[in-house]
Amino acid sequence: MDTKIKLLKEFYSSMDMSQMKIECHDYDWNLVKTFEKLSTIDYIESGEQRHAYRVSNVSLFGCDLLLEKHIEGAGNVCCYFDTMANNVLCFNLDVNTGTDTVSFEMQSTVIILRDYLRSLGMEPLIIQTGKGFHCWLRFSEPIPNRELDNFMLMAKVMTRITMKSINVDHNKVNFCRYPDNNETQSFSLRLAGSRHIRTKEFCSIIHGNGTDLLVLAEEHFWQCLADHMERHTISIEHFREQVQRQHSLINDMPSDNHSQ
Amino acid sequence: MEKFVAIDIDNTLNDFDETLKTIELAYKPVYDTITNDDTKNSSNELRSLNELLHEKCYEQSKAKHGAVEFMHWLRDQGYTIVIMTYRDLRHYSAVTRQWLSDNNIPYDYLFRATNKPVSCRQWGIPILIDDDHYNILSVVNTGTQLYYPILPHTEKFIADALADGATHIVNDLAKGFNTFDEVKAWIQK
Repeated sequence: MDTKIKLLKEFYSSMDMSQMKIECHDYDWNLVKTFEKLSTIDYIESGEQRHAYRVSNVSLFGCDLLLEKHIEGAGNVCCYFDTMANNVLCFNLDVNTGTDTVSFEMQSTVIILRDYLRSLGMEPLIIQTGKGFHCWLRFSEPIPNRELDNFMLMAKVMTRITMKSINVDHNKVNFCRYPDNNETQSFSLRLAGSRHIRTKEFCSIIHGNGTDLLVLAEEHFWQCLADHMERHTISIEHFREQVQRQHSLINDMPSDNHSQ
Repeated sequence: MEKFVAIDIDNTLNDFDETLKTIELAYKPVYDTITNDDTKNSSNELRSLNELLHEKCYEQSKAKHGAVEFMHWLRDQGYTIVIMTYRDLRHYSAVTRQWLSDNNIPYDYLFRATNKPVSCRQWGIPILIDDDHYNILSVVNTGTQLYYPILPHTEKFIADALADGATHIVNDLAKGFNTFDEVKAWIQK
């Protein structure tokens, strides 16, 4: 368990884990008192099936305990991106329709995005989460949010251009970028390595090439996470080179594509 | 044994609707294009305007007469006070806590709940003080004691419901009040 907690802390090292949002099905005043021993409760979101506890001043002991519960599947820990710079970014692909299955449009989006990032020499860590995906990139050091946001916007534009060219309806996929430059303290994102609180399914790593979206077995998750950090962490120099290259590419495109 | 009470902010502790009428905003040409027909509005502009108006109301609204004294009375009576609001606390928790602090309003927890009678039942909170007239229908199912401020929208809702034959909404679980002193008297009984 200690190794898994250490891996999570390392992957998300730029996130301030003294504040979190914990999502779970449990709700009672004993649980609230437990949270109060580990942290300060900012507010509680009381839903009919799920409850969320926004906490700050989380102690070191509290952080480890909550991450342990996250890994065990007792709840989901969601963390907040740093307000200035981060060493991870995430494309949060979520569905706009009311279905329970991963849609064709969603599959197409994640494949196109994956292939685009790979063309830049950036291998994303793709996690299936509910009806959508989290596509993470990890960097060797924190990068200012403004640069991350510009990059993610470009990636979104390029993905949508490709979707349009093959007649895939991009309106059916919510394409959110984290960190959101204006909302780092409002919106948190679920960490990898747990069961989805709503579907109760383990949020597995997706791998494969071409049109393959292969689900990695749960027991291989942690080794794959460790391998990804070792082999696919992106240097800041490479990131900035690719951003420059992409700017030139977009500027050379026909103008009707710019309106994306 | 711990005693709990849940209380709403907007139009219950504060004068949100009255403040809304007085909010001044810097003019933007795009506001001229906003209509009552949501399908014609650009959703981003409407959302931004809506958020801006709400945030200004949250900051500028005044505590209602007797509200602060009532909250201190609850504290002195040993109640655990839950502020229960519809506000999106992901965006508005800081401005909410600031307002409560500026107005010297004591509380123990800040909750966001979309179905307050159900949340009260889940959390074992027997008393809810809230202006939302839909609660008047729900508390019959949850057994929560509701005290609601008598406002134009609650009076109209009750009158319409009675005219439709929904006489069950007149019951001891939902009581309208004009002053917080009335609520004190009921709670003390």
